[in-house]
Amino acid sequence: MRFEFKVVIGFIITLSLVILVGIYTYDNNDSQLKASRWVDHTHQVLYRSEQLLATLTDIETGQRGFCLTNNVDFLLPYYKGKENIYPQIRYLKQLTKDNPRQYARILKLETLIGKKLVFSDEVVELYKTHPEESIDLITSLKGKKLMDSIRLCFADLMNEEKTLLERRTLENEQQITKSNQVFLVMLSLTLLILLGLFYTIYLNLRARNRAEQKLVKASKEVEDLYDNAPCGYHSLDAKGFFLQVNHTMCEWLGYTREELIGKKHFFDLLNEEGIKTFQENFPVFKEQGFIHNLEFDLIRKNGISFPVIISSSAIKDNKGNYLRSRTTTFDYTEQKQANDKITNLNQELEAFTYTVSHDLRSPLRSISGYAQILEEDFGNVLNDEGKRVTSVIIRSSKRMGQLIDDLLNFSQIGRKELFHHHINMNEMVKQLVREFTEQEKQYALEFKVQHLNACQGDHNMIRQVWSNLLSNAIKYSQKKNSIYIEIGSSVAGPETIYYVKDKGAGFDMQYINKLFGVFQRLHRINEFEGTGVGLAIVKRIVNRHGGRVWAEGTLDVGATFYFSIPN
Amino acid sequence: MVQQAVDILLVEDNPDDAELAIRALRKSNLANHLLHLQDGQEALDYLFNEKNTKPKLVLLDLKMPKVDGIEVLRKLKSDERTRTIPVVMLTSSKEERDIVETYKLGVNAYIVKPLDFEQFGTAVAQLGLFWLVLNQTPQ
Repeated sequence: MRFEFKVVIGFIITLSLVILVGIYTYDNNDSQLKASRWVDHTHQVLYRSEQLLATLTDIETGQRGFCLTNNVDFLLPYYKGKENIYPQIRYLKQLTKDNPRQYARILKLETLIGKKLVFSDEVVELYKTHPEESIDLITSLKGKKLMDSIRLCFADLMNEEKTLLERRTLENEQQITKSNQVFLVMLSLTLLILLGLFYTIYLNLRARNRAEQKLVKASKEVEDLYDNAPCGYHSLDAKGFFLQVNHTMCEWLGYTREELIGKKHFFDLLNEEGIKTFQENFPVFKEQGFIHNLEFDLIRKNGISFPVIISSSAIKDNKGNYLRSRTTTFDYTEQKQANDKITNLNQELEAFTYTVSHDLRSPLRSISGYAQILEEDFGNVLNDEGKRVTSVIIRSSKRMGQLIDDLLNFSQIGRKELFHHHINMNEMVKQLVREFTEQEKQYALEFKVQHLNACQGDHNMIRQVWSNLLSNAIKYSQKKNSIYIEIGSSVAGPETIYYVKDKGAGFDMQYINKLFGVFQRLHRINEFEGTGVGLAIVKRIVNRHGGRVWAEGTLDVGATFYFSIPN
Repeated sequence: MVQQAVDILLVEDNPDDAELAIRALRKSNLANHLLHLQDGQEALDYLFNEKNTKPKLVLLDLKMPKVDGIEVLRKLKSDERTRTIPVVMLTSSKEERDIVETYKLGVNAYIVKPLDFEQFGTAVAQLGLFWLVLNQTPQ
């Protein structure tokens, strides 16, 4: 459950509990009030009953006193009592209306009191006229009996009320205890939920704290990465002023961050040539949003410059307006030195091959030329051994010339610039097949050319690949009765594979790794002519096009040479 | 020698190569009016000497001491008096840049000396025949 949801639920439960406690307390107070009212009521019934009994006793006392003393003063409480007693009874009736039994008792009392009062009146009035008769009436015990009945009735009434009082007091106490318990339980529950809620909030706060610490740590790491990465980072505003720059770049330049940000324009760090490059490329960069591998010489604070390579992507707002750049800067010093070294080496190599091509061929031509002069002009004075030796010199110098030519050719292919064009392979191979058929008239050549997929590549070089493979196929089939060569292609994923298949001398697969090496030959020179450069050239050309070469062969059965060109 | 009419001016520092070339031309009977000079400076001196007749063909080697073939070619082709003389480079170098540069300077042909003596002989003979017999040059 999500934290916010938990808190809301907890809050709602707590609020409900508080409301419940409130309602319960209110309700409980109300019923307690009612209960205490009932207790009061009982007290009042008791009090009134006692009062009624006291009034009746006053009446009785007044009557007796008068009859004993004939003193009229005694009649004062008597009359007063008679005057008060009925309102008191009415009041009691009012009080006990809720309790039918008590009410019935009051009614009975009322009757008994009525009888008693009639008797007392009779006694008092008789006494005034016939005192002896009155005494007789008193001694008849009728009054006492009535009074006893009344007292008994009173006792019942009071007992009942006392029982009620006890019960109601007990009930009231129980009610208070129960409500206290319920209140305690609810309070504990509220407290528990509040504790739970607090714990949840605490956990969340702790987690948030930790996340914040992590975030701070991560942001510090990112900052460190930005600042101390082994390349320069900076951002330029639309005018080309520094907005941000990392520590590495500051170190390189020898400026402090404060000296750069907002104060230096990027071209303050450039020489004239650099300023030109910048002015040409910065608007383009702002428009297209990126720029890759621009070379600049940056001038340090101390005036010494160093080469860098810069790539950048632009940050734009929603409307596509340029805001700032994110630019990486790589110190290019070492690579540049290495590049210069390579360039130097290449130049040396070129000078070397130039020398070889010119100077080495010259004496060779002399050897071969003069040996031939020997053969032509002095053939008649040379004996057979002399002629044989001369012919060996001629043959060997020719072969050496061929080796030099092939080697130069091979090295040239590595250096020559590639020009990529669409190549119609069908056209190219058909033309070569025509040429070979013409050239090798002495053999019965049979070509089977399948449809060949077109490719992208350097026309002259690819032509040389086909030429070498075809002339090889012909050369190594010479000793068979007929020469059959099959040419085809197939598309395999990201590349197109071409093959040349012959039924010639073939080769042993265990020497496959020697096949494409320079000056590597699998046959003796007197079996098949050649210098062992043809396939090395094929490999080099194909590799330079990003493709692969491989071959399959069986000795005396034939060979298939494959090469692939990326699509 | 100076007064003699020259058909072919062979500028070649390597005496062996020169001998082989001359032999091949002689076989085709083309070496009768041939002058062999050993470096570029000699060639320039000869060609810019008013007394000398202009050759019908200059066979020029590329790599030579003092003044090389490229320099001789540049001077010949940039001078009104010598511009029309056919110049054929006869060299060992197959280098693309040499071929491109000499063509830019206005060379009339560029021949790589074949290693094979027979081929070399044939090439030189055909060359002489073409430029001396077949080709027409402005008078």
